[in-house]
This record gives sequence, structure tokens and C-alpha cells, in this order.
Amino acid sequence: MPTDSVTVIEENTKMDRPDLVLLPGLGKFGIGMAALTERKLVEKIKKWNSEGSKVVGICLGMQLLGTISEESTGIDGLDLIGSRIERLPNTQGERIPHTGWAETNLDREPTPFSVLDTPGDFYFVHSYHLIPKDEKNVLTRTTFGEYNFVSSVFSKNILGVQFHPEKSGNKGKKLISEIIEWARNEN
Amino acid sequence: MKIRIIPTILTDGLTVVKGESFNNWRTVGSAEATARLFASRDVDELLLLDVKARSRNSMIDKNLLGHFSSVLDVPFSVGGGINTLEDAKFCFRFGAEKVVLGTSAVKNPKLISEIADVFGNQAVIVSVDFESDLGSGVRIESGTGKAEIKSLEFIESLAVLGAGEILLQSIQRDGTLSGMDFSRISRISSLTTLPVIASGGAGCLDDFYQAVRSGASAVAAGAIFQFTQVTPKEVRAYLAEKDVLVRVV
Repeated sequence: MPTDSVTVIEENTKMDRPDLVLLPGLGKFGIGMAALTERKLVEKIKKWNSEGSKVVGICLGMQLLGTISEESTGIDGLDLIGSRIERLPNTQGERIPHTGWAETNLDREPTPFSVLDTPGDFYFVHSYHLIPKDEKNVLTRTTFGEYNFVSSVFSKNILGVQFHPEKSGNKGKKLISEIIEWARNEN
Repeated sequence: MKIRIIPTILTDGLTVVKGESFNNWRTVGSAEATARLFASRDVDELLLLDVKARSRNSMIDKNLLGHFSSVLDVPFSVGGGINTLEDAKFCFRFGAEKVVLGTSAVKNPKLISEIADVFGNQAVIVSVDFESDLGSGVRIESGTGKAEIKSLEFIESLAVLGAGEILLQSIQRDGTLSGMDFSRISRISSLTTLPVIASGGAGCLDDFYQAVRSGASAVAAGAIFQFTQVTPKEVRAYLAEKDVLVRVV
């Protein structure tokens, strides 16, 4: 078994380029970007990614991969996935925030993560969603009333998931193992 | 949107307690063991409320929260004695998805916005303890006090203040297994665009269904899962039979 070391990056953390950068969730877009800017991580993450580090964003972390957000106008995202973040539509007779378990429907074959091709729900809790410029970045979609929002995006060495795998029971654990396997692959 | 069934775990800070009408607390076991049990049963979400936090003048115990977080692979919300943004940060750092504000949100509504501005609206649940009349003041301090602001007015202000969910608690029915207050669930769900978690009095499978029909997005319950054979999974199966959308495990 290979052993992985995990580092929580603080302001003055000195480290080599990691195999995987994980951007966790919970928070407002502007606050999340401010936290990355303060730690001088915006350019660093982009550089690491261009040199081969994989980047995974969860919930707000997925939205930080985007270009701009309606939640905090005037603040640039990481722009790793060309996209804009908008509030979920209030025209669907669904209550916002979207809170709870929901299916993810694959929009890409073959999937880089096989667990996404199995039945079972993931846990969502969000008011905003990411709309990618390029349809080819869509990995899964999830229904919200009649509306289909993008619940995960994928591009070569970038993954963004709107749901919380770490809070999604066994299915979530399987996805996390597959992400770790993927990150261990040559990069 | 799929309906969530949420077991409520009440703690006095260390152990799991169970009361009736927010009184007569008795100990029913270790909070950690209870969380472990529910996690193994694929629950949708858990609600952890420290009912003694305010009287101890402190919020929930750090160790307890740490234990909770380490055994749970589903989302959980924490409430009891959260008075400041720092208190909320502490809960999020220990893995909570959402915080529940009660008395503190009534006395200091700005707290809702302060937390939502940093962590987003979806991270803030406001619990509303109310008496039968929506036109009377919101009950605070576990039902021992009453605020100036009327329940109705307070509920209508919550979305604008930045809350993400409303936890509707019926003090009179808490722990009684005597059925839920469906007319009030219905009335309040129609007053707000926020998801409503109905709580208090669920005593049989059909209570959950009726609460959902009345407009609840989720149903939280304690006693029925502690003291009867009914499990959250069984509730989901019952709802699914009635064409209510629930989590697919």
C-alpha cells in the first residue's frame, strides 16, 4: 500500500508540488477566494495544476474552479474551468437552498470514476451552481424541478463536484477512493 | 426535491437525553454510540442539539463534536448555545454542515446574516419554537421565555436575514409521540420559500407522510427512533410506497 501524506496548507506552508489539491466546501464565493488569496495560493494552484497536480473542488470548492460568481460579483475565481456561477432558478417550485440527497446522471462516456455509473444518491446543500462555457466539461447533471443543473465537471486533471462525497455515506467513500487512485496515477 | 428523515439526538453535553415538552430530561445513552448506530443505518442527516448549553452558559462540548464528526459519514447540524460567529466557526471546523440558531437568532437576528455572509445561507438553520398561536411572541430559552416579536413576523423575516432552513419545533408535542401539528406545518411552509424541517410529536409512520403532505421538506424526530422499533429507513420505505421521493441508498 502506498502511503499518502496530507498537508493542510496555511499561509507559510512550504511544500513540493502535491499530487492532489483539494478545495473543500462550505462558504461564500468571495470569502473562499479571499482565503486563497490571503494564503497566496491562487497563482500557486494554477501553476501546480499546469505542471500536473490534480485539483478537486467540493461544493464551494467546485465553484471556486469557475470564472465569476453571482454570489460575490467583482471577484475572480480560479478560472480553471471556464464558467459562471449562478443562483439556482426560483421558477421550479423547488425551495432554495437545494438541500438533501439527489441522483447524479452521467453526461460523459466513459466516466473517469466508475462509481458515478452506479445507482445511489449524493448529498447536496447549495444555493448556487456552476454553468460551464464548454459542454464537454460536464460530467454529471442533477434535476432541480424541471431544470438540470451541472452537478460535476471534469477536465483532464480537474474535478469539481457540487455534492459532498465526504457526507454521502458508502457511495461517497467509494468516490473518494477512486479520486485518490486517480491522483496517484502518474502526473 | 427528495424528502429527508432526520433523527434528532438531544444531548446534555455528554450523554444522550430525552425529554417531554422540553422538560424532564433523562439519560438514554452515549451520544457517540447513538451517532454510530444511526450512521450504520444510512440515515439522511442527523440533528444534534445540546439542550443544556444555555443553562451551562457554554456551547456544545468540543470532544463530543469531535467524536461525532469522526464516526459520521452523513451530514449533521449542531445547535445549542451558539451565540457568535466564532461559535459557529467552531462547529464548522468540527465537521458540522449547518448550525441551528434558536434563542440567539431571536434576540440578535444580525447573527443569522453574520454567519450566512461567511458560510452561506445554506449553513444556517433557524429553529422556531412556538405556541399554538402564530400571533403570539416567539418562545425562547427552551420554551421558558417569550420574545416581543410575533412568531409569524419572525418566520417571514428569516429568508431576508439569510437563513437557509427553518426547524419548526412544537414544544407541546416534543417527545410525546402524539402526532404532529399538520395545520401549522402547512401554514408556515406556505409563509416561506425556505425548506421547512418539521419536528415534534412524530409517533407513527403516517405522521411523517402527513407532515410531508403539509409542505415539510424534511421531518426530524427523536422519541420514535429512540423508544420504538421504527427506523428512519422504514420511514423512507413507507414514503416511497406513497410516491414521495426519498434517498436511494
